[in-house]
Amino acid sequence: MKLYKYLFAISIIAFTTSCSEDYFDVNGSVTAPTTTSLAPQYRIQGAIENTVATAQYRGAREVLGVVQYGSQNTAAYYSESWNTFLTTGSYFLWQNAYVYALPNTADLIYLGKQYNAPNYEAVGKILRAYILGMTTDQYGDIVLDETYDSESSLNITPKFQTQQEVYSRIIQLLDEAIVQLDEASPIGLNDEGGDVLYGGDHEKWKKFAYSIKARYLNHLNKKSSGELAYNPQAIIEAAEKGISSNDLNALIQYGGGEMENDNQPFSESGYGSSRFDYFSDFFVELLKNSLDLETPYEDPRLTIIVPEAVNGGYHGVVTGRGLNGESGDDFSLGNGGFYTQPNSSTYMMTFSEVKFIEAEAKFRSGDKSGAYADYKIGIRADMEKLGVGSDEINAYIQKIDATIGESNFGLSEIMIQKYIANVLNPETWVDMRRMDYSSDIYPGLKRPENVNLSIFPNDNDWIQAMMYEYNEEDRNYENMPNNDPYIRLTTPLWWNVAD
Amino acid sequence: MKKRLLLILLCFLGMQAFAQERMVTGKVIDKEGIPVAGVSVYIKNTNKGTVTDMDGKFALNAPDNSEAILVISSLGFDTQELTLGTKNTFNVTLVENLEGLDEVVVTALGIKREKKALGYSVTEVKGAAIAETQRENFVNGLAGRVAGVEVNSTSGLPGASSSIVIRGISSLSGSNQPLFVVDGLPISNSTTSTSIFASSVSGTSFENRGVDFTNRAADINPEDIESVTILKGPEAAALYGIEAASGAVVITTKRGKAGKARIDYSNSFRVDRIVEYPDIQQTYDRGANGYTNEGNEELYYFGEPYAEGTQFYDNVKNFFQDAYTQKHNISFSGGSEKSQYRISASHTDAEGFVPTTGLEKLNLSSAITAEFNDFLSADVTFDYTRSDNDQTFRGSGGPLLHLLLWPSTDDASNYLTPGGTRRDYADYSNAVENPFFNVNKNIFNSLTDRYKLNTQLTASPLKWLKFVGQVGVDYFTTKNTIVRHPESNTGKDYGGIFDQALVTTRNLTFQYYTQITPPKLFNDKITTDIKIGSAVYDYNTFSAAAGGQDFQAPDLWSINNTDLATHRAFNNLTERRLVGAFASLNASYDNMLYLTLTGRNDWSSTLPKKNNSFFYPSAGLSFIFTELEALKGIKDVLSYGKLRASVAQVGKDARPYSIRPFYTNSLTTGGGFRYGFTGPSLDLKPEMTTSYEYGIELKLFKNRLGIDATYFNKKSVDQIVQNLRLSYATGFVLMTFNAGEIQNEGIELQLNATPIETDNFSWDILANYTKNWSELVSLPGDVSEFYNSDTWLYGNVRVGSRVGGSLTTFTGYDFERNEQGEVLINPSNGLPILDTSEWIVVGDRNPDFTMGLTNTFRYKDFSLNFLLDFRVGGDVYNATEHYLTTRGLSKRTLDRETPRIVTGVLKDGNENTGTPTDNNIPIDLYRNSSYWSSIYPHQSFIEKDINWVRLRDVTFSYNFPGSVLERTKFLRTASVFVTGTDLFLLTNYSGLDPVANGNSAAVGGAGGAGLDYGNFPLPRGLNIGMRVGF
Repeated sequence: MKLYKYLFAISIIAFTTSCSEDYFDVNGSVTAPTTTSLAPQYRIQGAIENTVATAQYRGAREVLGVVQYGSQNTAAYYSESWNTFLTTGSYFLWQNAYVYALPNTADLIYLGKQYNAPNYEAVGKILRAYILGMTTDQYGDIVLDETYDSESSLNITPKFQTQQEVYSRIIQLLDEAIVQLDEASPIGLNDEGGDVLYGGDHEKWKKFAYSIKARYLNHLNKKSSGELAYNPQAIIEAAEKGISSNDLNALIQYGGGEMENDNQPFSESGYGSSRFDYFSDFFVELLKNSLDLETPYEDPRLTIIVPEAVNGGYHGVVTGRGLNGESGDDFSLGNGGFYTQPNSSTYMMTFSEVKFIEAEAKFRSGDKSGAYADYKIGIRADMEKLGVGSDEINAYIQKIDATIGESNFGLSEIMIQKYIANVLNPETWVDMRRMDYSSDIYPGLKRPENVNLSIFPNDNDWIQAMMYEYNEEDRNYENMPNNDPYIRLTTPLWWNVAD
Repeated sequence: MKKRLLLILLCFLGMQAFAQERMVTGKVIDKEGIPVAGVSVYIKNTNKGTVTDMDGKFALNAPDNSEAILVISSLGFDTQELTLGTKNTFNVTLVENLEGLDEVVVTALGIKREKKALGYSVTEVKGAAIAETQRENFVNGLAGRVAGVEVNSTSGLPGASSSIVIRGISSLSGSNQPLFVVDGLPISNSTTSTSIFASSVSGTSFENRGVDFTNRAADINPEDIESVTILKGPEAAALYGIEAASGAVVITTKRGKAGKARIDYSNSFRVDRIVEYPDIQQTYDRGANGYTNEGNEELYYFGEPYAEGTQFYDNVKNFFQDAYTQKHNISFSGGSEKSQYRISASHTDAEGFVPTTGLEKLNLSSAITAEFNDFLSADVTFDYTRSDNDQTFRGSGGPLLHLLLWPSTDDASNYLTPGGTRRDYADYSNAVENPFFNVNKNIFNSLTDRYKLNTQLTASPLKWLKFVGQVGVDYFTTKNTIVRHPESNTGKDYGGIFDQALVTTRNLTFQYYTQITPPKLFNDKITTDIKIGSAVYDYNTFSAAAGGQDFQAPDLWSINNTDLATHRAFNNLTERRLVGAFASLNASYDNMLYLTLTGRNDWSSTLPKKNNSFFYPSAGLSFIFTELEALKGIKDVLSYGKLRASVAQVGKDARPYSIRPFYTNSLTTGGGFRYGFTGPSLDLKPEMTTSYEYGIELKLFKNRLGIDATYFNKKSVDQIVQNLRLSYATGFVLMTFNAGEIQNEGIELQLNATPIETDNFSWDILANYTKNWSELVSLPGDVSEFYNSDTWLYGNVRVGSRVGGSLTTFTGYDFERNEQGEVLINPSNGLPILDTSEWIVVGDRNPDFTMGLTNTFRYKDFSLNFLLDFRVGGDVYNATEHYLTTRGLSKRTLDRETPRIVTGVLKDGNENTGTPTDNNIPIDLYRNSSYWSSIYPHQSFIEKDINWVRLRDVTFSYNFPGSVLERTKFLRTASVFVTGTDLFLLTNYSGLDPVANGNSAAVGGAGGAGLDYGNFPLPRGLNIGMRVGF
C-alpha cells in the first residue's frame, strides 16, 4: 500500500506544482477594465458624464411634457396627458439614475478613500447628492443605503427610505464634500483630463456644492418643523457661497460632431431628438409676454430659445393635443434652439438659478428689496448666458422697473423667470409642484388636453409624483411603497405637504 | 557475408534462448461459416496476441506449453478459452453472446469497461447507424435513438445548430449541453453568440433568435464515428469533471485494423424539399377596418375583398427550392499487428431549401495506433475540418414571415428592377424586406477552419501498473460575416452595414491517470483496480470583431470599403482554467457484485478563490443476480439480470468574469466608463447537483428480448444563475449568483427484441421511452419567475419558469376572470380584458413522454431499417399563426364579416355575484380590425398537448453477396442504399412542424424548443448512395 500512497502523492504533486495559485488568475477580463483596475482619475469623467447625459437627460425627458416645455406631435403623449407609460411604471429615470449614474459615484467615493484622495470622495458625494436629489424629487421615498456601494455584496432586495432621510443625506453629503475639498490630495481631479465640469478647480466644485445645497434647502418652504424646517437664512447663506457668475455654471458642453454622443441629446442628431418634437404653446406664449403685461412685451429670449416655424412665426403645440391634423410646419420645432442645437450644453446648475433661489428665500423672509435685486441679477445672468445683447437686456430690465417695480413684484415673477432660465432642467417640475401648478404663479398654465381623467378627474388634479419602475414591482415588491397609480401619481411628496 | 552469418546465428541463438515457442494458426468463422475479421486472439496472461485478417485467419507465436490458453474474443460474441495442448491449428466457430455479460462500452477517459460492472445506465449507438441517417450534423442522427436524450434542431437548413439535452434541464441559465468527447479528448461544441459582434455595441444589433450559428460538434464527420456512448448522469463527471455535469457524448472514431490495406469509398446524393407551406387567405385585400388601403407600409389584410379576377402569386412556394447535396467519403486503413493506420477524407456540398444557403465541408482525418514495445503504445489522431456555411436570418427578420406578408398580388420573385436595384411592391417600403432580395443580396456566412490533435501514450511497465497520458489541442477559427446590403431595409439608413467577427478558440487538455490492478483476493473472487489521475483544461477564446457602415464601392463586402468614421471594433477574450484530481476504485466479487467509488476535486478559475476548490464523490453498485446459484437453472428464460444503483454529485462553476463587473464605454455620454449591466458576485460558489439512479437490466429468451429500465432523480442546489434580473435600485440590471434549486426526475426504458430470426430473415426492434418531470423549487429574494430574454421572441409569451412549476413552462398573461374562472368582458366594448398584472404559467412544453422505435428487417442481403419518433403531449407556441391572424392573413380571419360575441361575463360589478351578466355585446371585427389581437391574445396561440409521429429516417439497402464480390476479384464489400429523412409527420399541431425551435443552441437554460415563429418546417429528404470496399 505504500506504493499506492506514493503514486497518489506523485499525481497530486504533478498537478499542484504545475499550477500554483496564480494559474487561476485569469478571471478578470483583459479586454475591458474592471472595478479593481482603475484609479479614480480614470473614473471621474464617466461619473460626471453619466450624471448629466444619462440620469439628468432621462429625468428631463420624462417631465418635458409634464412641465410643458415641449409637446409631441401625437395627441395624449404619455408625459403630457399622464397616461400609459406613466401609469404602468414604464418610465425610466429610475434605471438611469440607479444603474448608469449612481454606481460611478459610489466608485469615486470608494476609490477616493482607497487612494487617500478626499477630493475624489468629495466629487463623488456632490454628484451623488445631485442624482439622489433629482431622483427623490420625482419619486419621494427611494432606495438610499442599500444600493451599490462598491464594497458590499449586492443586496438584491434593497429597502426604501423616506424622502426626509434622503434630504438629510443630500445635505450631509454636500457638507462633507465641502470640507473634503479643502483637504490635501495626491491626485488632482483633472490629472487625466477627466474633470469635464471644473477642470480640477476645487473652489468651483465647492461653489457647485453650495448651490445644490441652496436648491435643496429651498425645496422645504412648506416645512415648518424638525431638523429640515424651512430656514431662509441658511438658503441665502448657501446661495451666497454658490455659483457667482455664468463662468461657474455647471454644464456639459457638446461638440456637435459626427458621433451621436457628441450631440446635445435633444438636438437633431442627439439620441433623444425624437423626444422634443415642438415647443409647447404655454412656453412660447409665455415668452411672448414674459412680464405678463396688458400690452405684451416680447421677451428677447424667445427667438433665441425657440426656432421659427417653417411657415413663419413662433407657435407652440398645445400640450396633450398633438398636431391634431394641423401642419407641423406651422409650429416651432423642439430641435434647433439655444438649448437644442448639436453643440448646445446641458446645464446642471446656473448662476441665474442660484439668484432666483436667493430671491425666493429673501422674498419669503420679508426682504423684498433684496429679492427684487437678486431677481434682476438672475434675469441678467440668464440673458447673458443666452447671448442676448446688452441693449436688449437693459431695455428688458428697464421695462421691469417701469411696469412691475419692487412694489408689484412677487413670487410669480421669480418663478416665471426661473421657469424660463431652467429650460430642460428637471428642477422645474419641483418648482411647479411647490407652486401647486398655480396659474396665479404661472399665468396661462392649464391642464393639458386629453388628460387622463380616470386618475385626474377634477380640474385641479395635477400629477404629483412618478410610479416606481415595474422592475421594482416584480423583484422588490416587499420593500416598495404602494405603487398604485391612483395613489402614487396623485399624492404630493413629503416636501410638498405642509407641516 | 560473415556479418550476416553472425546475425543469423545470433537470431538462432536468441530463439534458442526464448525458444519453447511454436507457431499456432487457425481460422475464425461465425455460425454461418463466414470468416470473421478483427477477432482478437491471444495467449492468456502474456502479451502475445494478434487479430484475424480478412479471411478470418490468424497466426501467432505461442509458448510451447500445452497448458497455455488461447483466448479468442470479439465484441458481441462469447469469449472462448482453448487449452493449447499439442494442437497447432485451431478452427474456431464464434458463438454469439446471448447474455451480454462481456459487453464492453467506452466510458469516461476512453476507458473501456464491462457494461455489467456499471452502476448506471449507458447507451451506445453504432457509428454506422448514425452515418446511415445521412445527416450532416451527426447530433441529429442521435434523435430518437436514446432514452432520456432530447435532440432539437433549429431548422433543416445546412449548418443549422442542434441542441442536445440529456435528462432534462440541470441549469436554469447556463448551458445544458453535454460534454462532447472524441477518443478521450473533450472538444468544443460551442455555438457563436451574437454578443461578440462589434455592432452589438453600436445599436444595429441582432440577437440569437435572429441568427443561427452551427454548434461546432457538427464538424465531426459521421463517417469517422465508430460508436457513440451517451453517459447520461453526472457519474460521467467523476472522471471528466464539471464539464460533463450535463452528461457526456463519448465518441470513438474508427481505427485501422491489422491486415491487408483497405480502401472504403461511399457517396450519397440527396434532395431536400419543403412540402408544407402555411396557408393564407387570398380573399381580402390590404387595408384596415374593411377599407382597402394599398399604401406603401400597409401590410394588414383587413381591406375589402379583392376584385374578381385578381391575379395571385404563390410567393412562398416559388421561394423555396429543391436542395441538392452530394457527399463523398474515402478512407484508407490497414496496418500490422504492431501498428495500424486510418486516413480518411470526406467532402460535402450541401444546398439548403432556402436559395443561396448551403454548406461546404471538408474533413481530413488520420489515426495512427502504434505499439512501440511490450509496454509502450501510442494512439495519435489529427484532423482538419473546413466548413463554409451560408445561412439566412430567421424569425422576425427571416424569409418565411416576410414571404407570407408580401402582397400575394405581387410577384415577389421579381425582386430587382431592370436597372438591377431593389424593386418593391410599392415605392420603397420599410414594412418588409423582400425575402428574395434578402437571401440574394444580404450575406450571412461563417467559415471555420478547425484542427484537432489528440495524442495518447500508454505505458504498462508491470502487469498490474499502467500509465495513460493524453494531450489534446482543439483549435479553430471561425470568421462570421454579416452584410446588410445598402438597399436592404436594415442597411439602407446606413448605406449598408458590415459586420465581421473572427473567433479563435484554443482549448488545451492534459489528462493523465495511473491504473493499478492489485492481485486478486479470496480465490480470485475479488478483483479490484484503482485509478488515480489529474486533468488540466485550459480554454481560451478570443474574438476580434469589426463593423462599419456605408459601403463606398458597390458589391465589395469588406470593412475597408466602409466609411472610416463609422468603424467600430470589439474584442473579447474569454479564458477559463480548470484543474481536477480524481481517484476511482472498481471492485468486483465473483462476477456478480460490482462496486465503483470515485472522488474528484476541481479547481476553477471562474469562481472566487475562497470558493474555487470543490470535491464531489460518486458510488455505483451493480448486482448480476442471475449469477446466483438459484437462478442459474433458468438461464434459457432469464439469461441475464442486473440491478443497479448509483449516487453521484457534481459541481459546476460559473462563466468566466462573473465575479467582478467590468466597465464599458457609454455611447450615450461624451466619455469615460460606466458599468455594464451585470453586478458583482463576490461570494459565488459552485452549484451542486446530486443525482440518484436506480435501474434493472434483463435479457430474456437467449437475448431475444432485452429490457433496461431506469429511474433517476437529480437535484441541483445553489444554481449559478446568470442574468437574473434585479431590482434596478440595486445598481444593476443583471447578476450572476447562487440562487435557487431545481429538480428533475425521469423514467427511461429501453427495449430490444428480435421477434423473428431465421437464416434468411430477421426482425429486430429497438425501442426507447422517456418521461421527465422537472420543478423549479426556489428562486432567491422576491423573484418569482425566471426567464431567458432570448426566448421572449414574440408578444407576451416567453419561456419562463415560476417557483413550484416545471422548468419548461411558457409564461404569459391571462384574461381577467371571475371567481368561477369565466373570462371577464369589458362592458363598454365587448372585448375580453387581459390581466397584465402578472406573468403566469400559460403552457408547458414538456411532453408526457417521448418514444423512439427502430425496426430493422433483414432478408438475405436486403435490409430495411426505420426510426419512428413519437411524442405525446407538450405545448407549442404558434406565434406564426398569431402574426398571421393579427395581420388578417390567417384563414381563421375569413369569417370576419360575421359579428361575434366573446364567451364570458361582463365586468359590470355582478361578475362575482350569483348572477353574472353573460356577455351579449357583438363585436364587428370587419370594421374593427384591431380587435383581432384583443380576442385572440398571444397566449391563446399556445397549442396544448401536441403529439406527433414522425418517420425520422428510413433506409433500404442491398449488400452484394460474397459470391458476386468474389467474381469481381477486387471488391471486398459493396452495397447500395436509399435513405429518406423526415418523410412523414402525423401531428395535431396546426402549424407547419411542432419540432420548431425559435432560438439557436447558443441559448442556455430551458432553450427555445416549442417556439414557432417564422420557423421552417423540416424538409423531406431522399438520399441514394453506395458503399464499396476494396
